[in-house]
Parts: sequence; C-alpha cells; structure tokens
Amino acid sequence: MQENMADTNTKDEWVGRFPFAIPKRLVDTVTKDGDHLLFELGHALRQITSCEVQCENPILVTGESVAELSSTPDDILWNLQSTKIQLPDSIRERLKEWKNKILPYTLKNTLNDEERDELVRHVVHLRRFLFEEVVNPALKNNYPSIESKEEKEGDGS
Amino acid sequence: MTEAKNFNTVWEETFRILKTVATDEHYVRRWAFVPPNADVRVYAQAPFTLYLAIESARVVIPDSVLKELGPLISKLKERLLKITGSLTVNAQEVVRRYEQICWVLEEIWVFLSEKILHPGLRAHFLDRRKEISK
Repeated sequence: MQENMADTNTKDEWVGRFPFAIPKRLVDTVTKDGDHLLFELGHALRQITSCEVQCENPILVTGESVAELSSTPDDILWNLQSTKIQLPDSIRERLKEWKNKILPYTLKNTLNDEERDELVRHVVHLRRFLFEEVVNPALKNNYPSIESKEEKEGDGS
Repeated sequence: MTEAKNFNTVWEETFRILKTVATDEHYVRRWAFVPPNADVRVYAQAPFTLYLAIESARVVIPDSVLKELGPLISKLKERLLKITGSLTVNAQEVVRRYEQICWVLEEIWVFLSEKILHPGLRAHFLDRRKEISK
C-alpha cells in the first residue's frame, strides 16, 4: 500500500468535508464483480460499520458500538470477496440466511433499542459463524497448530 | 531459539499495540475529531479484529511473516509516540500525525490479510482465479 496516498488520491477518493484521505477499503464496500451474495451481505455490514444504519442509541451497555461490532464480519466478508474463492454451498446457504436476517434492518429509518439488539445478535452470530466455519478451518488447514508445535518442542527437549 | 522467541514477541506485541489503539480511551477520545462517516476506531478495529480472527485459529504464524510484521509494528509505535507531543504543534500537524497512524494501521491490516489470511483461504477453498484460468 502506498503510504502517501493521502497526497496522491483523486478528489473522488476524499470524503467531503473532512481534511482526511480515507483508505479506499473504508470508502468502498465489496464490489459487485464476482460474487453477488458476498456483495449484498458485505454491503449491508458496511452500512452498519459506517454508521449509515441509524440507531436511537448506537452504544451498547457493554460500551461497544453497533458499528464496532459489525466491523469484524464486515472485514472478513471483504477478505472473502477479495480472495476470489469459491465457498462451499453449505456455507453460502448459511450466508444467505444471515443476509436475509440482517438486510431488513439496513432499510429501516432509525432502529429502536429492541431492533438494535436484534441486529447486534445477528451480527455477533454471523461473526462467530465466519470465525468457526470459514476463517479457522482455512488457517488450520494451511498452518501448523500451536498445540502440535508445542508437542514437538516437548518431544525434542 | 532466541530468534524464535523474538518472533513470538512480535506476535504478542502486535496484539498489545493493536488492542491499545483499538480500545484505549486516550486514543478513542482524541481520534474522535478525524472521523470519515464512520467511527474512527474502525481504523484500529480492522487490524485488531483480523488479528483476533487469526489468533482464534491457534496456528503458528511463519517466521518469515513475523519478520516482515516487526517493522510495521515498530513504525506504528513510533507514530503513536509522536502523538504524545501533539500539544506543541498546530492543529493541522496533529491531523497529519493522526492520519499517518491511520495509514500504518491500514498497512498492518493489509499485511495480515494478504500474508496470513488470504493464503489460508485460498489453500482451503476453491480458488476461483484458477477455475477461470483453466
């Protein structure tokens, strides 16, 4: 990544009144090319992350904001899209379910506390799903586990 | 062995520094004046949560990757230190310094994505790029 993109970005890549160059990833959502499902779900999550989904009280009792909670699945979806991998049908079906659950909330004007909590629940469950069913298996398949490394070191000592 | 310990330290240091920037009230409050249309913590949240996603898999990160990550973390720490002296410089310079922190956070995010997560995803799932090239 170019560190000095702030100086070289075109006007379109700057966001309005802020004297601050926004990294392209935070301006763009996942793109339409390739996978429409990832685009739709990713776009919905990006709307939440960028506070476009209005809440009467966006901060939860835990001190976290709805936008913060959404940033992890948003980020993972972005990664899935950008790697251009073909996810198995079983995972895609589950992602469709999450899309159907989350999308309606992005179409409402302002979420009350009950709606906000429901949305947060979906987002958190989606995050767990992405961790457990997508990211962790992929990493475990590609890198040795810490446990196996520790066992090997134990054997060697 | 010493080298291996240093690499582990880089990974642990990455956690400490990202967690601090993502959650410490000092940075949260002071960053509040440079948001895009999102909470500015998103800048720090992205690499931090990606780190957590990788960490949750409990895998060993290759030494070659950690060797490249070290300088990025050092750069972030240096830029954070510059913020502590921000009161003596003008507002424009403060914004510039925060901006530089955001850029290095973004750099770390890209690094974690491209060097760790993407190879794992591509190896585990069918790579559509290969399908297209057939």
